Amino acid sequence: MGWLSVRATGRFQRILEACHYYVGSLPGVVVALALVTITVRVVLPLYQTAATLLLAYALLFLPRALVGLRSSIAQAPVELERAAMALGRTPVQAVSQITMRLAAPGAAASVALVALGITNELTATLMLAPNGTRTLATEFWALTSEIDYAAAAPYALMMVVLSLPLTLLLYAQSKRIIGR
Amino acid sequence: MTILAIERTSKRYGPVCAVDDISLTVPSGSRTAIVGPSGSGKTTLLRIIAGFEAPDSGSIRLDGELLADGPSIIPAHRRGIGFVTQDGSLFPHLSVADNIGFGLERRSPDRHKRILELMDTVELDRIMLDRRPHQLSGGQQQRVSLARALAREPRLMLLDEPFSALDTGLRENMRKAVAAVLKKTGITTILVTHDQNEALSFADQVAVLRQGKLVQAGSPRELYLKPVDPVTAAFLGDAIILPAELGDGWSQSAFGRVAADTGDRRGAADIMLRPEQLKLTAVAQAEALQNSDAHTRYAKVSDIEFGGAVCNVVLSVLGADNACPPMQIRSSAINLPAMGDHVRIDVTGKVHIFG
Ligand SMILES: Nc1ncnc2c1ncn2[C@@H]1O[C@H](COP(=O)(O)OP(=O)(O)OP(=O)(O)O)[C@@H](O)[C@H]1O
Ligand SMILES: [Mg+2]
Repeated sequence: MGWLSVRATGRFQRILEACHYYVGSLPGVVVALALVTITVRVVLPLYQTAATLLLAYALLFLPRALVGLRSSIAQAPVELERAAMALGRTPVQAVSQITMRLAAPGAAASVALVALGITNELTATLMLAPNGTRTLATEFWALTSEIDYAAAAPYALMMVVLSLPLTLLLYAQSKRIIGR
Repeated sequence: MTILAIERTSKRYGPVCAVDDISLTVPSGSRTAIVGPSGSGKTTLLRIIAGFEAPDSGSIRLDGELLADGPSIIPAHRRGIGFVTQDGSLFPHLSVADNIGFGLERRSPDRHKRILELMDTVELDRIMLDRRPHQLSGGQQQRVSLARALAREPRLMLLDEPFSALDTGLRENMRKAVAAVLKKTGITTILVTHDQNEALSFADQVAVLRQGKLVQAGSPRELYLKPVDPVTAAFLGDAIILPAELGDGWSQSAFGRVAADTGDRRGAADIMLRPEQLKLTAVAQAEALQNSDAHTRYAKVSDIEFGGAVCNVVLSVLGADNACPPMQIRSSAINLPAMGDHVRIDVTGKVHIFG
């Protein structure tokens, strides 16, 4: 998808991409409510299942991943793909050995960003998660709403600690890009 | 013997006809330069030859093998054609050695030996072997790019303005070095450039493109002395273009009567001559005024711009009709007349008549 949006700039691709960004800009509550409505009205068995939750995450976070992936693919010029083809690589090999290879650090960064987002995501998780599902954010939220700040603190700390390596990774990544 | 035959090839991008009905043949082992202003379709033509783009119509044959027949094409990786771009297009994540070896069999036992050989061929120091592309100068990057393309022993080498990102001195060196390497390896080469000097000195055949059309193709000498039109003439070097009257084997113009291959043509025509055909000899004013007639022209130097090796001399020709504007002529600093001097104009060789 990321590759398509950079290399093949057809109308369909652009519309598809625009939809993505549009959904990505919606607040989590809106997407979650929409999914709640759909699952309750149309496919009740899916209400509050892991599948719906994953779908919500996908809708909310795929655009973020896409932005990162897209820009890192755009950084690998077509000329390199062409050079690889002139050196005997098939188009598929050229994309996988050159473009994907060059986009990999950027892609990793987007994955890290998304992981960060999901760890801290609250609203959609609360509405859609199967009963009994507990994420760090929901636990934290549950405990703070009971004004049990002391018990909530470890969860907050864990969120911070978990986010830390990812943030460091992102930081290192951005420094490398600037350093080039 | 012809190795590459391009026949009536066209390629459109929306309303733009980037390559318009071009036919061109390239002899085996020769060097062809494609020149033309920006946007004239040089890169597009090269991409079609390399197989990165499919032509809308027309055919391309290499060694008798049909590479493209209209939009159905043999893909680039099966063509055996080398390609070097303006910036070298090196793979930034690979070392110099791996860049050069990219097209070589990975498990081949003499891979490393071959890489070293190629580095010697393009005169690249072996200490660069483990460097990354961003640690190389522009000229070195181009050498790596050339070595990488040579590694596959291509049937045809395409160079798209490979020297244009280099500064003038280095450019000339690189041009000579690359020409020498290609001569040594005997690989048929097509070079795209918009530097006319580069084209004329590098190639056996020069093709001039304008707005997607092939305006003229021929030997550098032929193009320089017998361009098809004034634009081409000016593109390939300084040209003096002026109206003349044609007679049997001569032309009559502001420069007097000068030999020309007139054939059956008579009457008015535009003629061209190159500044180096003109010789100025300082004479006494009296001689200039007395002897000036339709056959031998004298002129007064009305301005001089000193420019070192080449200087601009502005002449007003005596006895020519008033419509004749002052002539700008380049002259060497040696024997440079002074302002206000009178000179005799001698033309060596023939003038060229535009069709
Ligand atoms: N991928 C493309 N999509 C649309 N138009 C294109 C594309 N590639 C080239 N063109 C157009 O085709 C024409 C020829 O372009 P081309 O790149 O072949 O010119 P060029 O002679 O190589 O110019 P330059 O000297 O600037 O490199 C231009 O008008 C250009 O805008
Ligand atoms: Mg070009």
